[in-house]
Amino acid sequence: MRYLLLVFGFLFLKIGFAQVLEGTIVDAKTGEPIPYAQVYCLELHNGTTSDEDGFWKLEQVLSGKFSLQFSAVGYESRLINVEKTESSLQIKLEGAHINLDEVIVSTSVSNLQRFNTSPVDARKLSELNNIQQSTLIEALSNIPGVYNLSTGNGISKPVIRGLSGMRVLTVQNGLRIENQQWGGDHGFALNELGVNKVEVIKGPSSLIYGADALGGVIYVEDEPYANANENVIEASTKFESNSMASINSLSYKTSKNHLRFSVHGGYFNRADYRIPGNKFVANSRNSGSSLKAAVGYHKNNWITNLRYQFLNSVIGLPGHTHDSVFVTEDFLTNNQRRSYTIPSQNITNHLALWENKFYFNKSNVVAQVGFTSNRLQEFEEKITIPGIDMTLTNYTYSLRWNYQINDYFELVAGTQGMIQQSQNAPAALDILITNSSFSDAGAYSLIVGSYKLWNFKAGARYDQRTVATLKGLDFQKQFEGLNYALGVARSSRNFTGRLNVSSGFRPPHISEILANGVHHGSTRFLIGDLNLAAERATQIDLYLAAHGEHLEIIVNPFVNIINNFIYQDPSNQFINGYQVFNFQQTNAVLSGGDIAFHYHPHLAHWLHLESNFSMLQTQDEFGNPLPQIPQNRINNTVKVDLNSKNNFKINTLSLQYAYYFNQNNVSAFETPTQAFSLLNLGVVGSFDKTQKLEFSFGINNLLNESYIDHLSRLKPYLINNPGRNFYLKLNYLISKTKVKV
Amino acid sequence: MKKAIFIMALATTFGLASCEECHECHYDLNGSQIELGEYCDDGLEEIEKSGFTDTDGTVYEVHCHEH
Repeated sequence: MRYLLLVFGFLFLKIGFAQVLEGTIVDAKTGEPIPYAQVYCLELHNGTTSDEDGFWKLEQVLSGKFSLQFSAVGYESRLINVEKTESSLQIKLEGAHINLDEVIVSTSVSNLQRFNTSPVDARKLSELNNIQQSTLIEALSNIPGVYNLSTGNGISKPVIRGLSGMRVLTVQNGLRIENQQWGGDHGFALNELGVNKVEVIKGPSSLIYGADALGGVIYVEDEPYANANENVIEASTKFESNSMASINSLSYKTSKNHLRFSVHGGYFNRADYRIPGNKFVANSRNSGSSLKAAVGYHKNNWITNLRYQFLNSVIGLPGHTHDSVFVTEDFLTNNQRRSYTIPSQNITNHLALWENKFYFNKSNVVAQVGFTSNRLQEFEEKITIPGIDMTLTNYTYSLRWNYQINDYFELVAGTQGMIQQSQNAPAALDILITNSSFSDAGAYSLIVGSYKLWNFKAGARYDQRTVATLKGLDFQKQFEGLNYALGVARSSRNFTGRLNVSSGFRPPHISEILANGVHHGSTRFLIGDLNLAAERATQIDLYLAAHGEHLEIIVNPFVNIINNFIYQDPSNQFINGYQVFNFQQTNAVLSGGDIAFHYHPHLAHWLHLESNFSMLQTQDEFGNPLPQIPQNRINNTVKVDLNSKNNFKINTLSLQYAYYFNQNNVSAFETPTQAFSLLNLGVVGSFDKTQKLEFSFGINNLLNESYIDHLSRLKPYLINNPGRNFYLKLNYLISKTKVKV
Repeated sequence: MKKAIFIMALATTFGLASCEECHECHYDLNGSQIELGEYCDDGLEEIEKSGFTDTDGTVYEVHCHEH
């Protein structure tokens, strides 16, 4: 205890002084001031806006070293490290017709995307939703190499370069989210409420995130707090015609001197979705509510943030049958219904994170403790008695130290761990996996460097995981992981090149080790293996991008080699009418990549032509394809920026044509999938000049294409994906006022 | 500020309001469904848990959904 007090006493040993920083933002070529540019402090999660003369002022800034991001429409973003001695800054922004650069925060050292040495793709949610999608994961599927593993429109799981479930980690503001993602029908825990940006790390990332980050990481970052000394109240509502969905949210954000607070509330409700031919998929309805709150405070060199989120959803399970003989019509209906019925999932999540950050001249320390709880109830035969009732509780900690060695190199060292418990409620009719626990502990260190146009990263990490059953079966096993990552990037105005080699590991989940029964979600009798070893992956990723003033071309090949890849191997044996699948291991290779271009004609600056092609090939050690591998995809978007001066203002008009190729490389128990194409349209604008009331409307699957995605879990029942969908979304800025200080 | 508090309070009230849950229940006998009528809340839970006991003491498993 005395040690703890000493440590905290040392951390607070900073003397406060007048903490005001101000400056101007000007055009680098003309010297003209840039009005309404954004000034954002990464550490405080808020900032300010420049006035009509390009002048900005921040009060109560941190007393240590911190980072400010300057951005404006039509200019390249800049990220500046600010020393405490500075009180005035003049920022010059270079004009740019193409600017997709976001600040990456998921890789331990914040940097603009083009200087990053890891394969990360960061997108603002607003950018992904130029054409609105029904779920967060559908929106993320616009990112090359990211796909949606769906069960109707209620359950979505992210797939990164062919890997999903326990192989993809979800992190929100630094908190690792655990929601029993081992189940194929256990969907993504988070929704769009209060989300600002999503970063996708493509490939193994165990150096920073430890065990399970084998296929990649989905890093979700919340909306910033209100700008300094402002109150903001906003509401949004969205309607979707296909499932007669209503999605609503209300938020309140405030910031005053050292204190910041935000709260978001949301509710959604969807009826059964419609497929081409005017039929509906029975029991594909879902509804839910969520509440997200955060409070932040800073004093001198210390920042603290406390975040909490509650999510509850009730999800109908379409395509549910216990019969081995069925026809697709069994799962369809002529009447669209919204009322609750079974089978269904009732899911409740509590997510909490307390973060403390200390900033010094040459270093900073970030300490986080987190808690997540996920209760998953599946009602199958009884309305009031769940078939499955499992609660997963997870306690996490993380401590990271960044130290600036000199002008070129930064040292990062940290430790992370978690204690997790999975328990079945006594009333549950079925026990899918036995009560179990596991504990993780890991430590890592890396060097990050920057010299002229070059950026480097090299690091290593050691992890240990202990898996054990709580009672009944007597099982305990320990897994170890030694991982590394090496990266180098060179970025100039016209060219970016990056080479990254990284490794990851995933110990087998208890459901793979001890499975011995029917999983109704997959209609399989699963048998585990006590001797499963940890999966180990090594990925080599090359990124080459040429940036012209009007044209950008990107080539991004990769190969990911996974040893001890765990899969379900179908056998000829049947138990109680269910086919038996045994958990087995093999070595696997996943290779492919993305090619993208973005053209912005000189004669038509309002026009953007974007195209990306994502492809993936997989094989196990016998040359067989792996299961659930997405179709190759080409995604073309024409985006028109309109700068209307009318009250009714259209900002962007987007038309997207996505073509999904045949998937004939399928595993032993899958069937090939036919090619299909989707045409989507979206319009974003506002009703008045002040942009208080913004709208977004459009049509998904404009041609009402009848198709089944290879990653739809309803494919075995030949149930189509949703047909044409009209949507309308309204965002209303109810109030934006200055706070008296 | 008052407007914000009012809207938040309204949203919370609606969000936390709970509804009575009722369902039509039946049991199967010789290939046909014997309707038992509507059961709600604790009654619903009890009939699903304990089943329906006929006059001759036979206990039938009860289903309360369209599945």
